[in-house]
Amino acid sequence: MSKAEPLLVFRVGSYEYGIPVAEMREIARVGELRSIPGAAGGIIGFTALRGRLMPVFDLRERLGVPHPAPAKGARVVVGSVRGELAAIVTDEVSEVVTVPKSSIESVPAMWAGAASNEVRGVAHLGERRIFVLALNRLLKD
Amino acid sequence: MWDDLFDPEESAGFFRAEADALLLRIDAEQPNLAHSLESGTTNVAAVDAVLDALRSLQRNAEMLGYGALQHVASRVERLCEIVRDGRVPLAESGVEMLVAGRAFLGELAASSPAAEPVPAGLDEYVDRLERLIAIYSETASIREMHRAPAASPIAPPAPVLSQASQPVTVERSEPDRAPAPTTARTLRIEIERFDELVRCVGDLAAQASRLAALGGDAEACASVLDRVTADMTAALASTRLTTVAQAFDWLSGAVAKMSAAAGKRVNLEASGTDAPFDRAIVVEAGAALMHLLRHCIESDIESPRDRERSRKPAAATLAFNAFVCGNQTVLEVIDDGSGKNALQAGDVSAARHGLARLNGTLTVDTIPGRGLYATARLPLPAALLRCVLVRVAGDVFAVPFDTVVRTHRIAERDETFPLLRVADFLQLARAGAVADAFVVNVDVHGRKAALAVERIEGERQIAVRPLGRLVGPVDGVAGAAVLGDGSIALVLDPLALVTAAQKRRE
Repeated sequence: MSKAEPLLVFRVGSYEYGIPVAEMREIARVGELRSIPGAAGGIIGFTALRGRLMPVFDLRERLGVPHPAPAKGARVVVGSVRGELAAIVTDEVSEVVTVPKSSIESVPAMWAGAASNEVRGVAHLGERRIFVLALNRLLKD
Repeated sequence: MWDDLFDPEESAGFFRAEADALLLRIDAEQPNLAHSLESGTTNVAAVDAVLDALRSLQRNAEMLGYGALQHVASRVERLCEIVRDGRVPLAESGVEMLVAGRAFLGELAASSPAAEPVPAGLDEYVDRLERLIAIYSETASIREMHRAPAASPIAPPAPVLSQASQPVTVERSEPDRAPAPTTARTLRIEIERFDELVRCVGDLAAQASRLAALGGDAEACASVLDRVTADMTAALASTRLTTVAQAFDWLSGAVAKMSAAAGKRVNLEASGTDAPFDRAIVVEAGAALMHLLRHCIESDIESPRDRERSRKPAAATLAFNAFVCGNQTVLEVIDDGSGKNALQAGDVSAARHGLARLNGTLTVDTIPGRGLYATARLPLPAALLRCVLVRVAGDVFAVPFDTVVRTHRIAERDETFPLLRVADFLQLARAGAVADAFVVNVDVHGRKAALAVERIEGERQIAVRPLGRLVGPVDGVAGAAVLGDGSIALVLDPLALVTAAQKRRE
């Protein structure tokens, strides 16, 4: 087991998030969005990527921050969790950084609001604070 | 999941229920394994089923610290693996070992993990098992070495004869060679690959419907494509489907056993068990069903004496109905027991969690004094489904065709179908003043509703997928599909809609 964890870092609003490269499939542009009535937990709809359906998550929705619907063509990070795909809306995809696993700390209480359930920890990169996502926490069961 | 229910005693109860279901799977294969002895060939499917059950059992045992049980299960698993992979015929000694192992596993599962007393004779059994494993693996390696290349199914070329006119008898080189085992030729593939294949067929079907719209030659071509994709779907579905009767063949045995143990009298009435069921989720769904049945028999149904006191027949009726609704298999469990509130019942929440992991749902209604009514719904594998497409609040929805009785203008509505406005039920915001102009009359297992919609867009074969575990259950929606033009339709859940329509009428 390696001690370093490569993370794909992206920005949503004023927060930076990281998703382990191992859980990531691709970066794509979101197509038509189809809303799902009654779907909770930050899901803003379904989209189809090359014929494959996947739910689209907006982390701002999860945080209760007001936000416009993503424009067609907005960038999404597509991750895979137990055979299912999830697309996460981003404002900007910045880079891949490698952080030592030991440097990922649990989320301090003051940031719990920004973190919500799907964040597994926070990595410090100089002045930057990157919330590390755990995609399996997006599952509803 | 296990973590939020982790009360050791409760977990032990769940473990026992799951172990019971898994052991019943093994029991169910015993006649097939015994038959292997007579025919001299190993029934690979039966051994695979036993292996699946043993592996699930080990996973559960490991989680809860049933060390001895895990060990015994792993050794029995090893034996089965050699039988399967080494094509070693399952001799009498092997079947004997399986039967004895099954008995020990039952005993160990009934104990608690902390105490886990060693049942009498277990050590000797494990010794004998290890010896047999050694013998079997030796046999397997010898067979591997002697696997003659001539055993390939392709016949060797006929020898070229110099005197072709003369009749020749070709001597058999190895007259005493044992015949190759005649096990069915099977192919194991990962579920993901299978789903990918289904998705591709769905894409084909979607493109066929675009071709059809072009008219002329393209339309003729599309109709052929339509037939081919329908055949492909049927072939794919048949590899993945079993029937409810086969999936839960332990049902009547389990009900009899549980009711005897609980001192209850229960008549099981099963119907519709020829409904298709997803082979890939048989074991987990069985464990969840077991929890539900356990709740009915142990908690909900009263003792014969209490039943007589409340003027009920001494024997309770437990109904088990299965039917298909759109892309789901529906299992109903109904008893005429005490009907006490089941919201907090451990077995019910275990069943609900188990089904949720499979993308399924469970609803349980109780009427005090009258009994319990549970509906479990499980998705069928991704498949092409003929649907009526409708428009509601500007978006396209699909209604599974097999539930549709007819469609017509709302003004000519048949009053025997209670009206349900889909937009209201799903709380969709209507843009402007579009009114519902049409209704789709649906009938699910005798329950009816007239679904009011804005427009009817036509009929289409679409590749329906369940909403998935990331979205979770949505009341009234059973799945989604990508249409030919790349847009997405949500597939309505007729059962939820007829249920809502009936409730609103009451």
